[in-house]
Amino acid sequence: MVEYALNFDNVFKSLGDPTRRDILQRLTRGELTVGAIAERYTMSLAAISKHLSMLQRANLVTKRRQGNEQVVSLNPTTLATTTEYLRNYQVYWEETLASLDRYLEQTKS
Amino acid sequence: MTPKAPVYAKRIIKAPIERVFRAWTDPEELKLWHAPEPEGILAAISENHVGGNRSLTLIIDGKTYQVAGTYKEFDPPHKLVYNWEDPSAPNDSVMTVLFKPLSDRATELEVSYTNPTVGTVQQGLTIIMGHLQEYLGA
Repeated sequence: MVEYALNFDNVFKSLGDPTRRDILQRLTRGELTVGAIAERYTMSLAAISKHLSMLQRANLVTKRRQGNEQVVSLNPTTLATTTEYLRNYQVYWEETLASLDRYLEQTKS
Repeated sequence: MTPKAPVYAKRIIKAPIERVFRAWTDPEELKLWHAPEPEGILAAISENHVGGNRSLTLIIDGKTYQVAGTYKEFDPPHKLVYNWEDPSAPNDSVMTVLFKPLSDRATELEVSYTNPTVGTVQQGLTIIMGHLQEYLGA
């Protein structure tokens, strides 16, 4: 098991919500202002800001100021690390099952 | 098609179902195979009933980890469900282990995390990563 600096609890909590996943998907096409993101949804700007804060806390997006607008961009590293993390877990279990198979082969009477 | 669990491993084990189930639930046997080589297991507990504890103390790369949980289902020799509080795993991981007899000498073993949150996360990630690759022109 590899150790990561990322807080996966925040990442998983963030990705567990359909609106936040939708926002991330839009951001894969390029950065967007907070206003432009909010326009796409029927919920209030405050609600969208809250979603964005959660994504930011999970390191999934970054926000920067441009004039009097806030620009949000995707942090692809977090997505890539999370994918790798889940993949590592799968590898771990594949190895564990292989080890069980070897063990039972050896102890066959 | 049922949605794929986030962590999923399947293997045909060349041993009868009762034998595989015993290796999975006998603490002394767990110590002998569970940790991928060459790391070892320091301690193993498996109280074989619903509500019983399951715990492993492993050494990986010189570090000691303890993973522990409680059996939610204990259905020998077919099915085990237990939560798995692993400091490096997603919160509230629920492990499901299914044993299926293929013959007198072969058992299909399936391991998955049936965490609904992580399930959605993986689906979400796959979609998002797909879009990202498209975007990056990969």
